[in-house]
Amino acid sequence: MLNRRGKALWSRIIQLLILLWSVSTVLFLLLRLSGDPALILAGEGATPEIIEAIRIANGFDKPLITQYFVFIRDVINLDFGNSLVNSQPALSFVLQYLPSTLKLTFLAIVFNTIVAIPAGIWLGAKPNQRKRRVLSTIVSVAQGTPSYVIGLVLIQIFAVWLGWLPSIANTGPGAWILPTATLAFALAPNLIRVLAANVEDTTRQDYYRTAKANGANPTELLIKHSLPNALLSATSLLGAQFAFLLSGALITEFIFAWPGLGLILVQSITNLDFPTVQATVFVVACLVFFVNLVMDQVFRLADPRLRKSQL
Amino acid sequence: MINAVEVKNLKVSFPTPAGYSAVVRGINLTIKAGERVAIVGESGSGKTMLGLSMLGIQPTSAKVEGEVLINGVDMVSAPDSVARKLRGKDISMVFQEPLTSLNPVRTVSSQLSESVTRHTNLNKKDAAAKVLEVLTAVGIPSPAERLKAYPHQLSGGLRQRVMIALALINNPQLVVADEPTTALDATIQAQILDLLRSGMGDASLMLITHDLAVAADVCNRIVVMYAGNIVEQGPVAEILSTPKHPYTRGLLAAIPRFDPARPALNPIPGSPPQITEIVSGCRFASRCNYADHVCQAAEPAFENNVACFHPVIGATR
Ligand SMILES: Nc1ncnc2c1ncn2[C@@H]1O[C@H](COP(=O)(O)OP(=O)(O)O)[C@@H](O)[C@H]1O
Ligand code: SF4
Ligand SMILES: [Mg+2]
Repeated sequence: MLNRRGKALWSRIIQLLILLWSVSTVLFLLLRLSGDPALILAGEGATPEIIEAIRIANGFDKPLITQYFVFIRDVINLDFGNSLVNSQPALSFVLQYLPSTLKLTFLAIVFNTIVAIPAGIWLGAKPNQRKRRVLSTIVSVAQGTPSYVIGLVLIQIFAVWLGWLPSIANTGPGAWILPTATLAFALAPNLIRVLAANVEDTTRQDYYRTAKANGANPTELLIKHSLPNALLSATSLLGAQFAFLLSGALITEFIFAWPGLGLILVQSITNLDFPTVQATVFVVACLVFFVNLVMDQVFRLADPRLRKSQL
Repeated sequence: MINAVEVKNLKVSFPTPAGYSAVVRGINLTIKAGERVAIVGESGSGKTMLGLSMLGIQPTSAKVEGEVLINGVDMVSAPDSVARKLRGKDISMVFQEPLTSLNPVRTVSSQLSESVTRHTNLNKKDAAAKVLEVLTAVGIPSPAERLKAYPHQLSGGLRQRVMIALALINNPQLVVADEPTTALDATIQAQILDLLRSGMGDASLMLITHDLAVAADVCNRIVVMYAGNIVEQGPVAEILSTPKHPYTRGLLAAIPRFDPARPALNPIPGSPPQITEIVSGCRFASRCNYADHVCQAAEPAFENNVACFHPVIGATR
């Protein structure tokens, strides 16, 4: 018998496999059914000889079902073929850009946390009502704004009008600020609201009343009693945000021409570079999977209620 | 002998659409050093609000008037910065639900030592020794092993012992215990009642309970509350043998062991007035067998330890 955690892990792995399989199959069909694949791969102006050579090299002359099995076998062997644009093996080409995307994601998480944790705590600890309403409104508006709008607004203000910050490419720390801020803006409102609600909720708990009954002052109540509980309840959101962040990072990369997985994905789709598209989707899906897995473990260790059983 | 607490004309009210409405309606109560006093009454009679407001930790919407004097400090009018110096030190409270009343993500020792270091100058090492000492005193087996435990890792009975340890750790002069055994199994209940009866050191006890049998088991004196008022009070033996207020008699009749002739529980029919209900006359009149026109006309004053126009004279059958 598997325990609950074992089961949860297996169901996650199965989800990942189904996702990878269906994405691969869709890409396989898209290439084959949208016309002559050899023609698409050869590009404009190719001679019939070249097209025929491509057809044979890729096995497009074989029956569809045979092609499919060969294709799936290659995917299982992590062989996605060569990029149609630069002829590098697609997977290793994509992996070169992984660190850059991770850097952006990591910076955004840090930035998000630095902004959202104090703001959420402050909002939840009931400052005077008007300030509270002002921040709540800002948070609601920010939450409803798509990240690309925020990105474009930030570029307009800081890069175009003020000229303070570069708006494209990874040209040094200055260039990190706008993409990171864009991503953090997309995440922070949610975290702020959840934290504020959590902090407020702790003040209604029995242990909060016990702490009061033992003479805790407002600062002690907040730091020693509200926060450990409020932050712990917010960690599951942080985990979900990391996964969301990756997809947000892809869009943001495109807006800021940041050389990462997102840019590669958009370019390869535009170029009909199917092997690269597939390798990118594969890498992103695995990344989300592992991030979720690691987050789960980290939070499990942080929460004593999940860590130990009855003494 | 000094008093542990003097409560003078204490009123606790909540806002309602029709203005403030009192759930504690002018309580006078003095608890002497070393005394164990039970506050008995049905659910909703204002016992918890009385206890919370004595510490000054009532819900924020509540309005509190009157005086609660502890060591010369009036907990009602003192600023919070003064009142909180007494909480957990001179007066402390044990709650009904030990699981939710302890912080779930902090260890037993950290919650106990927090209260010690807050109210004393003890260093970390001495505070740790104090924690171990009080855990031993409240009867926690192998206390050293329990220090690093989280509340969810302890049984209900041990958790309530930890709560009592927390209440006792700074040697307060008064511990308010609000239904401390209601959430526990019967056997564990008896053990905790033993602890409250004989393990409280020099602290006086104010035991809040809806159960007259529990009150009689643990305390020296019983105070009966009904709908926000004290309606009768006296030494345990007197309350049990010669209760004067019809409500007290009703409570007694509801306990099988005090009336063997009536084995089944006999709760008092009807229910107390709602918080918003305006009652002229005695608040118990609608449920009282002895009520007459006098009772409808005015509210009985508390005299000779009872608030009733027609106190019953003589022993229960
Ligand atoms: N936060 C609150 N707001 C309004 N009314 C309350 C609140 N808390 C308690 N009450 C009312 O106060 C009355 C007394 O409650 P309580 O002191 O808890 O009674 P007991 O402890 O004797 O059961 C009840 O009628 C209850 O409905
Ligand atoms: S005053 Fe009247 S109604 Fe009230 S308890 Fe006494 S006899 Fe009953
Ligand atoms: Mg109560």
